[in-house]
Amino acid sequence: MTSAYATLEARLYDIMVNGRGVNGALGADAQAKSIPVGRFRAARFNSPLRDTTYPSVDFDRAVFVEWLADADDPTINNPLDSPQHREARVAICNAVTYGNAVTDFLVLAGTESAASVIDQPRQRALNDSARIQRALGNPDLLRGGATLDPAPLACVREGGTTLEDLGSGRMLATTVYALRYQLDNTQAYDP
Amino acid sequence: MADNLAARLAHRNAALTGRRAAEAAGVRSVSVSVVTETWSGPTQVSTSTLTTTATLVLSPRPKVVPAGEEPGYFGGGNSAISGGRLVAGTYRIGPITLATTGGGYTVAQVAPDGASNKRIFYSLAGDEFSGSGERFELADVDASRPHQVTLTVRRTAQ
Repeated sequence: MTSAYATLEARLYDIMVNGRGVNGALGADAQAKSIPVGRFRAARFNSPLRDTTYPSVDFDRAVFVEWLADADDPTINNPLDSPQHREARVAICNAVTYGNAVTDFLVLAGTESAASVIDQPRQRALNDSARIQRALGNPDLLRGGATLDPAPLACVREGGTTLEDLGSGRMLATTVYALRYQLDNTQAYDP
Repeated sequence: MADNLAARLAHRNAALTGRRAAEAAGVRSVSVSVVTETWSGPTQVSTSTLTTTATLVLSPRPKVVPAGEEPGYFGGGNSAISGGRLVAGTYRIGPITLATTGGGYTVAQVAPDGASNKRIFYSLAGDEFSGSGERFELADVDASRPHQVTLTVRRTAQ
C-alpha cells in the first residue's frame, strides 16, 4: 500500500505527461482527448514552478501538481461505510516561457514556431490549460483501465484558470480542480 | 588606430602564466567543471534519455569566491549543516583567462549555448563543496575585460 495521494498524483501525471490513452486502449473518446508524450513534462524534482531557481531549460510546458486541501465528500459519508468518498482540491500549474532570450528553451508543438510563440505566452498558457482540462475531465482517461486504489472518480475544474507572470520570461497558469476519489475503508494508506 | 590583437594575446599569455603559478602553489582548492548533458529530446520529457555528457575541467583552476546567497527551496543548501535554513549559494568563478596562443578558453567554451535538449551545469568540487562536487547553473557572464571572463553561478538542484 502507498499514500493515497501518491497514487492519485501518479494518475494525473500519467494523463498529462506519459501519454495515457494515446494508444486507444481506453476508447476512442479517451484517445481523442489524450495528451501525447512530449507535449508536457513533469516539474523537475517535483519542484514548485514558482521557485526562482527553477532551471529555465526545464520550465517551458512543465506541469506541477499542487495539492491544496482535502475534505470529505459533501454528500452523506458514514465513517463506517466502505468505500469512503473524499474530495481533494488540487491545483495544476502549467508553465510557458516567453521572450527572445529563451527561445532555445521552448518545447514547441505542432505548427508552433519560436518566432511567434515567444510573444504569445498568455494565449499559449491558457490553451495548454484547456488541453489539460479536457484530458483530466475525461472519465475514461481518469479512471479507465485497471482499477486504482484509491480510485479517482471525477476531476472537475473549480472556477477559472488564472495567469501569473513570474518575471524573467516565465508565465504560469494555475487551474484548481475538485478531484473526487474513493478509499477502501479497510486500508490505512500508509506511505 | 586599429585594434592590437597581438598585444592582447600576449597579455593573456602573461595572465595565464600567473594563474598557473597560483594553481601550482596550491592556492586554488576548488576544481571547476563545465558539464553539458545532451538528451534525446527536451529535458524532463518522460521519453527523453541522456545521450552524451561532455565535461570540461577548467585548467588552470580559477579562483572561486562566494558572491552571496538567496533563499531557494529548490536550489536548496545543505540543511544539515546550515541549521535547517535552505539557501542557494552564489559564487563567482574567475577570472578565467580568455583564449590565447598558450591556452585559455573562449566564452562559448565556459558558457556554452543552451537548448531545450541540453542541460548545462557547473560542478564545483573542493573543501567548500560537499561530496564529489555540487551542481550550479550560470547566472551571469562578464567578458567585458580584454583578458578574462568571470562567471557567476548559483546552486541548483543536485
